[in-house]
Amino acid sequence: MSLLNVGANGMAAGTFGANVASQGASNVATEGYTRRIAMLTPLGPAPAGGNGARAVGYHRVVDAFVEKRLLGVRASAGEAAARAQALTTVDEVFGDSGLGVQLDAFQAAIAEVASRPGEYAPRVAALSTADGLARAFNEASARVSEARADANGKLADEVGTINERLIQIAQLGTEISKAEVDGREAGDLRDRRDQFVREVASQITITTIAQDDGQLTVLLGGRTELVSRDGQAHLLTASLAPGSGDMRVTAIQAGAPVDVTSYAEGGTIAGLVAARDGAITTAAQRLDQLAFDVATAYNAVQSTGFDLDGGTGNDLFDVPATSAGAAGNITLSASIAGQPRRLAAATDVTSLPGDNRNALALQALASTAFASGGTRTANDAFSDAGAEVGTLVRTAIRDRAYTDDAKVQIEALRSSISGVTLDEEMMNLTRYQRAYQGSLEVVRVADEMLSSLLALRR
Amino acid sequence: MRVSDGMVHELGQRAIANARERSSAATSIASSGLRVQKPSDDPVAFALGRRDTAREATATASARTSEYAMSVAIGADQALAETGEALARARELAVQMANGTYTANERTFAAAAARELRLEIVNAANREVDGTYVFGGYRDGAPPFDAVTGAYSGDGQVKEAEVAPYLRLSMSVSGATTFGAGTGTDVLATLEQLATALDANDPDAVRATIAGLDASAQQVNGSRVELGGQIRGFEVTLSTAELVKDRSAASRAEQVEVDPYRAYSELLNAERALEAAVAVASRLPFPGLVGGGR
Repeated sequence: MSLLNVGANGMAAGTFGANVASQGASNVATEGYTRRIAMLTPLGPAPAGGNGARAVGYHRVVDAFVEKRLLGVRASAGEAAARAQALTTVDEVFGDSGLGVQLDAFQAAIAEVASRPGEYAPRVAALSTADGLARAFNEASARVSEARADANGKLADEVGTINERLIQIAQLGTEISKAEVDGREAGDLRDRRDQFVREVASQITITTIAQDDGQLTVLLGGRTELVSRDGQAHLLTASLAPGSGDMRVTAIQAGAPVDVTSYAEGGTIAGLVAARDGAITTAAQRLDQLAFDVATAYNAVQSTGFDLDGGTGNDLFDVPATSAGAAGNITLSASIAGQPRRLAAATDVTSLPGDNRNALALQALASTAFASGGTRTANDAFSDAGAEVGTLVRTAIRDRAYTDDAKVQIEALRSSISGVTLDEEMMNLTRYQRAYQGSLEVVRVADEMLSSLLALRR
Repeated sequence: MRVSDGMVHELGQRAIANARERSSAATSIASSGLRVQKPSDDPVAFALGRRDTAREATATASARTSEYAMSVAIGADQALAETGEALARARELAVQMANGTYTANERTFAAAAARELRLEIVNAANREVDGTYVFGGYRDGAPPFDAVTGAYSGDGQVKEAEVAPYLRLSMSVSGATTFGAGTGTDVLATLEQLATALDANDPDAVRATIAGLDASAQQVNGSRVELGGQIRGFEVTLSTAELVKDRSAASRAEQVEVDPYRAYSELLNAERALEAAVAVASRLPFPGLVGGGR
């Protein structure tokens, strides 16, 4: 009877091993699936030489160190990718020829007025290009604002997704704990939880601590508990600076919201915040400052000159009192719009209409360093701003490429450890098939032996 | 290293994605002819290219200003050339009529001729170029000299043009100085004196105007010399502006444009890389125990 038991146990073990190999082969394309190795153990010892083999479960092939590194590189890659993506628009704002071309056209039109101060057509062209310049500032500002709004919108979306995943991680932790206490395999549950953890890691910097009971503690930036045995935290987005519309990430701690944005050093959250508070803010500030400087400089000259009808004191541009929001709000001055004769080309009201001295002063502004605190011309300031923003965007793009490569390398390392190889699974399948066949043969032999024994009694 | 099926597929996917990205970039560069289309492509080249564009625009405006200012100066010079000719004819008339052999009747005819010459000079002094009276100074919206009295209503100033950054040149000469309105020799008054002397049949008085006519001619010639210098200056600034335009365009091309042959070559390479990546990926999964192993 022992021999039959040996065969039966071997057949069961072979079936289990074949099942594990088949499961691996079937899940070769399943995202997050971790390969498993059937664990068989010999049954015995017994006076008769043992009782065959027994399947005691399977082993998920995971390298904890690689898994932790993977969380880190996913955070870095998520941060860089989000930052680069968010900055695409501001790169295009300076790349588009709109603002630069309008600035050139405006300066050329002013030069034309300086040559022909008494003529009407150059004045019409000058006001038209001044209006075009103001609109180009408005357009550029709107696009930068749009990029900021997109970053804030995505921030809220990301936080929403993180919350959903944290719930999943917490629920799976409870299920894993229960399953393992009941002696059930929880490999699939662990795979799913690990997949959620990796996804969260690409959104926000987390560290994990595996608990003995199968639960997982997830920490934000190593200090704020996002998931624990007690459940999961709920992150919120809130605009902490009234009126700015800029979102921050908060977590409820001890009943009060705490700004945890800075804890997220990596992940898409950090990338969006870095893009918004970095290059997008820089672009907005540079545009505002340039618009304000241009308006202030040209207004200062225009308002002191005399127009064709002897009038004076009219501005060329309407602009806010400070640089804040200047690019978005600069307009052709209402006092001069549609009235080309009000362009002040003269410095002496008795020298009309040919006095071009004020127009020459306006023309000279093209080569005057009045921008950036009186250190750069308008054109140079625009070039500088483009180069500054371009460098930030280029850095983001390079970071994305670099961190993506790093992520791919670690993912490849993980895959080489935990990924399924069909060849291996086929070999395992064959091995367990053989083991099953061998055990079947043992049963057959045992049967023959038993039959022979029974025949002796007849 | 153990190679999982996932790694093989990931490798194939990445190879295709990278090749496609490279192909897209190469297509964009080849079709636009621009290596730098946005600041992040090359921030330094973008800034330099942008400055070249601005410099080219400034040079274009400077060239237009120089052309216009030169046309004004040439117009003024032509007017002064006509004035000089009229003054020379007036001097000949004065020298001729200072001779005692001429009759009163002949001097009366000569006086009419002198007034014709004066009118020619008034017309020259009221020369209009492109709607502006070139000897009116800043008050150039109306004829500066009264045809009857010869009174000057301009302001005697000289308008300037900025023909390059930080460089301003005069684009005419002072009507007051040239024609002696309030300073120097009054050209129109001298001619009126000649006509009056001729009407009076006074050879001595006629002779006395010759010095004034000589001084007038000298005055006008002095202004012509000045205008000649201005015109030469505008020619130089015009050619300089053209040169700056060409150099700025060339410099910008060097910074932001791409060599078409290199761009096309890169496009071909990128397309071939994409084809190769797709071909390799189409062979995945490679033969193994599943399928190929049988």
